[in-house]
Amino acid sequence: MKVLVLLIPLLPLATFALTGLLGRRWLRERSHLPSVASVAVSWLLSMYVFYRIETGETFSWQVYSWIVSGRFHVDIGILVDELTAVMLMVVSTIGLMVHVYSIGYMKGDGGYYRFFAYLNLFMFSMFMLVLADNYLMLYVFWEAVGLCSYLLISFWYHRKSAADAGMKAFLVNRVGDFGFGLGVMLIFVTLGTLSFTGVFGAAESGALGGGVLSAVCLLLFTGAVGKSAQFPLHVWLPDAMEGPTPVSSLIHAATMVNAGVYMVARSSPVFSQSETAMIVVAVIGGFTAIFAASIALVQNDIKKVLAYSTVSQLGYMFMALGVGAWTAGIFHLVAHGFFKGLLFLCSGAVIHALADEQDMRRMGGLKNKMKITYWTFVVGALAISGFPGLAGFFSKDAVLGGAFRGGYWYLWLVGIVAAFMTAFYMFRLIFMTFHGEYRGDPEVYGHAHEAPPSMTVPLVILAVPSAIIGALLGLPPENGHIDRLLEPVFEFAVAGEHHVFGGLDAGLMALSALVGIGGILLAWLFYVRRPGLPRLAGERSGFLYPLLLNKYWMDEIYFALIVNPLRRLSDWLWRGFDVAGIDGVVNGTARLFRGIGAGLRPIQKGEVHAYLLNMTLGLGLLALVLILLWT
Amino acid sequence: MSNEIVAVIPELMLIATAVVLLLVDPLLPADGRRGLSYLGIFACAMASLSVYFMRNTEVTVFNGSISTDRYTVYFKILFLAIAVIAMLLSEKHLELNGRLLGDYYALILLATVGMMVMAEAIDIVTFFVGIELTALAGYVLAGFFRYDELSVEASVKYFLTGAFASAFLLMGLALLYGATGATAYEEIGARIAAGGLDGGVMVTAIIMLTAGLAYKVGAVPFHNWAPDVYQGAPTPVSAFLTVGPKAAGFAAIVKFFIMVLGTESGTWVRLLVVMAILTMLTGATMALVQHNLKRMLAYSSIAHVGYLLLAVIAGGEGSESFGSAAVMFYLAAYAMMNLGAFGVLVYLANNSDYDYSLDGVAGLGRSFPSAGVVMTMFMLSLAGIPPTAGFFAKFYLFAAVVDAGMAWLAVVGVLFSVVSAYYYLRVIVYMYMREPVRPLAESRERSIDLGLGLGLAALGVILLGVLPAPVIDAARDAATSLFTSI
Repeated sequence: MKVLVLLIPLLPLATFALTGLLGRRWLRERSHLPSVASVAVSWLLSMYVFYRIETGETFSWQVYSWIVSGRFHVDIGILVDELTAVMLMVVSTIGLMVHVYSIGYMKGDGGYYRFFAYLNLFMFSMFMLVLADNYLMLYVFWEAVGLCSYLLISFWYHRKSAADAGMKAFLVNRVGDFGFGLGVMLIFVTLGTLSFTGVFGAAESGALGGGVLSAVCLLLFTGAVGKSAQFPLHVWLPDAMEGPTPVSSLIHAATMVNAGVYMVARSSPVFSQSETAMIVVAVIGGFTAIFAASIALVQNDIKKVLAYSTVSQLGYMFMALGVGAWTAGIFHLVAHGFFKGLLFLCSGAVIHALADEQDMRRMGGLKNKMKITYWTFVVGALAISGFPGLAGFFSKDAVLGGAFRGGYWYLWLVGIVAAFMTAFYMFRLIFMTFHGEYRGDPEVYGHAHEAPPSMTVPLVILAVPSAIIGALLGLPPENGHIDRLLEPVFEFAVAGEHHVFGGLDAGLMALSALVGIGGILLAWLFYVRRPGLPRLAGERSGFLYPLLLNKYWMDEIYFALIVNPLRRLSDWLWRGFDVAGIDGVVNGTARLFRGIGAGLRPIQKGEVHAYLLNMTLGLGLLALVLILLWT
Repeated sequence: MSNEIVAVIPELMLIATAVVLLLVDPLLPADGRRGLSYLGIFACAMASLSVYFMRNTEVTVFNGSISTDRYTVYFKILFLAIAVIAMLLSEKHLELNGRLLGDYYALILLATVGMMVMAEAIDIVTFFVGIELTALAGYVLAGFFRYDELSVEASVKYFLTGAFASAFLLMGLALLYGATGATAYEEIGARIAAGGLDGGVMVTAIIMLTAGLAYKVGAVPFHNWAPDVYQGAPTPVSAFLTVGPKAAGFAAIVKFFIMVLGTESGTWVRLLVVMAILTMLTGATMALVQHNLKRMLAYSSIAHVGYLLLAVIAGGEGSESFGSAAVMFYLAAYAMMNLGAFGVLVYLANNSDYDYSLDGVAGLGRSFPSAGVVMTMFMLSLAGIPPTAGFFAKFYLFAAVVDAGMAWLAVVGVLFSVVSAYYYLRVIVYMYMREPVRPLAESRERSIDLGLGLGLAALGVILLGVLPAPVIDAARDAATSLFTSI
């Protein structure tokens, strides 16, 4: 079993090395073969692990001691429990589908081998992230998936916007990781251990408690805010859509961005001990859910709509975790992984068909040209809108029900409104893309065609779980398969009696179904029945429309508050202290050696003089420090 | 007596080799000097072996001026490794610039001896001799390309400011002697601990010492020389100077401040806190605006000095062996990644009319794929991204700071390291995401030495990141032995 589990990450690592080394010269257009094969085997193994876990086993063992040094002790260890198994299932399934899809999507690209190499490196890192049994390992692979993500965002580096987006993702994530890193350090200096068992044991026994525990949670959550693109660090994710669409699907919708949710859920014994942290997680999540959904209402780029939708849905997950509905959060993660992965791949098929067109204002009428894409897209959209019976219906209802029963009626309300917006913007997207008249270049429309089978097959396969996984895992509500499966994981975090599904819950469920259908109908009214309405609404809304269209000017605010002042500061420092510099003649030191006597004078007024003065002033500064800080 | 000679065998080996190099050099024809570096490398290898075999002998020799223990073993091996890699990076570059001379390797060896003396001295006079030996060799090395005005300017600036700083240092040591009447570390420490000394003299002495040592490691506000010297000096020399004397400076700071001035920590910790913050601020922000990569790396080295000072502070604030071990591990990691980064610049300068600009590395990832890969590795490590040495070193260092109960300082430090990620990443972006601005030379100047040096540095960066345990253990042993010896 140990070997089988270890093979899950190691196979993609091996093919990463293989493809990376031999890809350019030898494998070339066959570069996908080893990659797809290794991920397929990883998928089989993951399913086997899932099956074994189902029977009630869990595995954990130390692979080797990484650092043993005094109090500092960290092992490379593997932990496979129910939560890990669920994550493995999601990551490997979508990973495999995206690999297959990429064969068609990336065909003919100059960096074909490079793409598959990066993708495999990502799979390795992501598998390791969910298999880690301690915070340091989690942190290391947290950074590693980030690194792969930047590589893949900037994959088409000759596009300046892609290179910039990669840089932005990197830097914004540094801010989040800054908190995460500090949190890990704080755990270590408080407890002297970083292993999950040790930390959770300390939280349960009270050895880790009070203000320190809250501080740990909030610091860790900062990392999650960065990685899972929550407000106010969400700004990198929409830009990350510059990467190839399979990447958006795999990394920026279904797997990596869930790492934050996974981390918080994994740390449930710690988080559940801090009311402050829980409420922060819930409120940030709830706010992000509605904030991002409102932006998605008016975006015109098909991938940007989906990106903001992802941000919003991740907000739902955090809201669930924050209100203590741990299972609901993971349930939504699973369901969302499938249907959002599907939606991105569908959008990729559309973009592919229209010669890289992403603006929905130049789409339309594709319904008959791309039947498979259309119908799978509709399945995904219905699922995310919470149409009764499909995946999103059960998972979203679990989230909202959890918020309502937890006494967070205001979060429930936010969630309901966001659900309405979700249904609206998803079907706005469907109607603008597939219905009505085509609005772009007629020549492009003439060439538009259904995607090749390597792309459509994954769509069809992913449409199946998008439709049924909700019912499979979530029926009956509150006591579905996933509730029973994850019960041991969240045993400590969930206090009190297990909730039993009742009349109130059925009412809430019906209401959220109605809200979803209402959103779809409104989108139909706006974009099919009365196409003049959107413009009218935009004009009547006054300030609201530009506010949403410009994403609340978040980027501009960051520039004004952080980037520009920092730039000015370093510019000022540079001019003030560095501009003297070195040029070989400026203060005549070279001349010192050529001319006798004449040499000394320039030095007396050159910058060496200034440097010596600085040093003397520095001495004074030190004395001043001592006088001022003398206690 | 024989005991005394045995204790300094490694130093003697280097000095003897340096003398041989100086003597042999004029006898060789201009093109016969190629293998000279191997003489120096061989001497370093032999010296490390003897250091390693004597790792368990703790002796105090020469009337209590030098003592060897685990602490000096750690640093000596680090210095020797630095010297070896620096020499490997140099040969081709010197040859292409018409300055392939035995003198160069002799100077590197002598500077290394000075560094070793700094680490093992337990007497302020011996310590000062060590620091001056390192500095004098450094001044000459910085001006080694004597037909290059930049190099000469660097050397003169280094010399003038260095003389000034030595005056501070000497004044501080003199005051310390005046106040305590002792020159041996142990005795000075005992007198201070006994109390009853003139407070004013002690404070002045500490300020002077802090200033002098801050200059040696390039901490703000005594850093002005660093960007000019590191930019102007021959690139392999910059590689050596940014890591070697700096590591020796920290070896001295840890030993002297924590060991000797431990009871006065209230005074110097205050000074170092202010200096550390200023150093990180200046280093990180100034590196943002540099377009010359050598100058960028110079400011980056200032920022790294700031982090190191944090760990020194942690050592002084009660987390002694943890903080000091963090300094030691960080120095090892920093040595590997910085030698590597400068080494890649040497490689570029050897192979094209590279002007050390940021624009000049555009498209490097394609024109020099292997150089691009290792440079990426070094930049990621400098930025502190796993799984490299830089990540682990930073993590260990900041954990020590938090452990010392100075979480706010760790927060400040991590914040600056977030800013610093930008200028390291920018190099990678230029290498892989820009078109080359001008064609790079077609003919490649192959150099096994340079490749080997870069390979060793890259290996170090990876090994210290993935399997840091042995080095961490060694650093902890060394720190513990330092604190039990007093």
